[in-house]
Amino acid sequence: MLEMKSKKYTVDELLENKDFALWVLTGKCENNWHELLKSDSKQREAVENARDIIQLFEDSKLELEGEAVYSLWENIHTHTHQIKPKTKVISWQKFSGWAAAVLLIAMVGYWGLFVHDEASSYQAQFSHEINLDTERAHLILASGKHIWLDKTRPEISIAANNQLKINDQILFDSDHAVWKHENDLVQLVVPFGKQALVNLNDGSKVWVNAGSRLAFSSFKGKEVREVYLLGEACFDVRKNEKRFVVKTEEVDVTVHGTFFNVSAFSDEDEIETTLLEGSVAVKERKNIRVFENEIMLKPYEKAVFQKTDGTIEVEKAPNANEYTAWIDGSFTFFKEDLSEVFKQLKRYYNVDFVASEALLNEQEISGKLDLNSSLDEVLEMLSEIAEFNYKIQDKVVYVEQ
Amino acid sequence: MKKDEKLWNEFRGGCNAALSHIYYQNVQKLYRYGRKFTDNDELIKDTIQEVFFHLIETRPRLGRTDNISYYLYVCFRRKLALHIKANRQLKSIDSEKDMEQDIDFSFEHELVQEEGSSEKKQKLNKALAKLTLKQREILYYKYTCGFSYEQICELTSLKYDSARTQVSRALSALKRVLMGDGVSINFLTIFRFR
Repeated sequence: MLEMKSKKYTVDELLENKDFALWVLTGKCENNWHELLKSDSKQREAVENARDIIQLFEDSKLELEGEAVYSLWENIHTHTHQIKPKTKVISWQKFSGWAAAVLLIAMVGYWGLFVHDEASSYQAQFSHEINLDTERAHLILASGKHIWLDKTRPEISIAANNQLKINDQILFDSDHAVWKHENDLVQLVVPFGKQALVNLNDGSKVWVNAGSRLAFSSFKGKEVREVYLLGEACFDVRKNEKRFVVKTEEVDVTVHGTFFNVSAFSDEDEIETTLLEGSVAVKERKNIRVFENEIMLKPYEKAVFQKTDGTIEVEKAPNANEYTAWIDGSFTFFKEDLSEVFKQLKRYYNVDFVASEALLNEQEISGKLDLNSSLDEVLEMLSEIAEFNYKIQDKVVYVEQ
Repeated sequence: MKKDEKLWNEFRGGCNAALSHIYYQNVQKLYRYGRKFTDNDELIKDTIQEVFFHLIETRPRLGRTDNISYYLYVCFRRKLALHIKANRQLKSIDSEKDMEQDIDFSFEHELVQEEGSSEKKQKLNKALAKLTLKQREILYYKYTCGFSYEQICELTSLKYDSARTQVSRALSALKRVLMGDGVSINFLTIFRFR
């Protein structure tokens, strides 16, 4: 950060300074421009004049309505299928050879209550009581051994020979082979405020969001590719002959090769599956029912499963890709009210919000939050846009007008 | 702009989710940009669609970029200009002259909210209206979009020196509104000390 107090700026210098212009128009401040206003009157005048001129170029508030935006996208999306690209695969560090099918699933369900059809020892693997308030993500091997992961967004991979790699380093575990028995699973625990990426050995990827758990294994020699999820994750699934199924307590999501996001948290009544590309089948998995409740989703549709009565409803989701923006480490919201934004923050940072009904529902805000920021930084920004005051005490955020 | 570069590469590599990100991040920007040239919403929507169709069709041949918005703007302006000029041609007598003349950039197509603006703001807006269309377009790219001079030159087909001259002239005109004419103040001072 530059020492703003000592340097003096003329109007012309300010008008040519990109950072200053950015501050005037967006409030983003890398260099404490507002400090200049505390300086002598000549400098203040220069700043105000430059600012008044730049403010002439604030963008208009015009917008296309949501329906138009959505239907335009539909046309564009259709076009991608009409043009068959020669798969020119540009491989770079992390995303080598993405095939056509990308599946995004975030699923949530009760971990411990999961019952599998075939006898297995899955339940034994996953104790229900896991502290998600820890500082770092960690892996729990089948042997029960915990392996702590540094980094805010660690990356786990399964190497070709079935070895586990953490942030590109092979996990060398002389005591226990990672996959000793056929049904061995490794569980990844991602605490609040963190995220992780898992590269499965069929080429699929899973971004696991804060406060979630994923159990996975090597798919070699298995007939079906299965993973278990409690919380929220985005799956990018490679198409191959074996079905890919994401299992939560109540709902199985079978991937037919697409890109979609599923969100199901144990303390909420609904399980949502939002599809971006391809097709998925969402099926309720209750052994008792005679008629299975299964629905197929098309892109930019959302299935909402009600845990209370077991119904599944399909809605349109034109802002579907907003749901998956968090895999970039950011959370984008489009014309949401505060209650929705707080809901996400509550989930990610594990805090509660206390605010009046009026404040929560009265305004629509759109924006993008950087999830690498601390809760304070995020609230600081939000409170300026939505005009509220807040106070944090004991993991509760008190919000008032 | 590392994020842009990564997103662009993903799109080039065949990822359609990246395309949807690019679309949602830029659709409103392009709409507002289009409204500077015309108030025909249908035309603007069609042009946006064409831009993305173009992206999809040229996907394997696309180069790198570190500013996706800029790339879309260039493509969008080119296509919009073709349409507007074609429409002009239908109505005009001297078609060749009309085809050569560039399209008009203007803030007037948008609704201007002027209730309760200060006198200073009103004066500034008047001065803005007096700038040439080119000057206004250049300043829009410079401040609203944050584009570099190189990028501004590409969009306006101006040479670097011309662009800089236009910017300095335009800003002088605007500064004059706020700071008064330097010469006259000096004159007053000289007079006083006589």
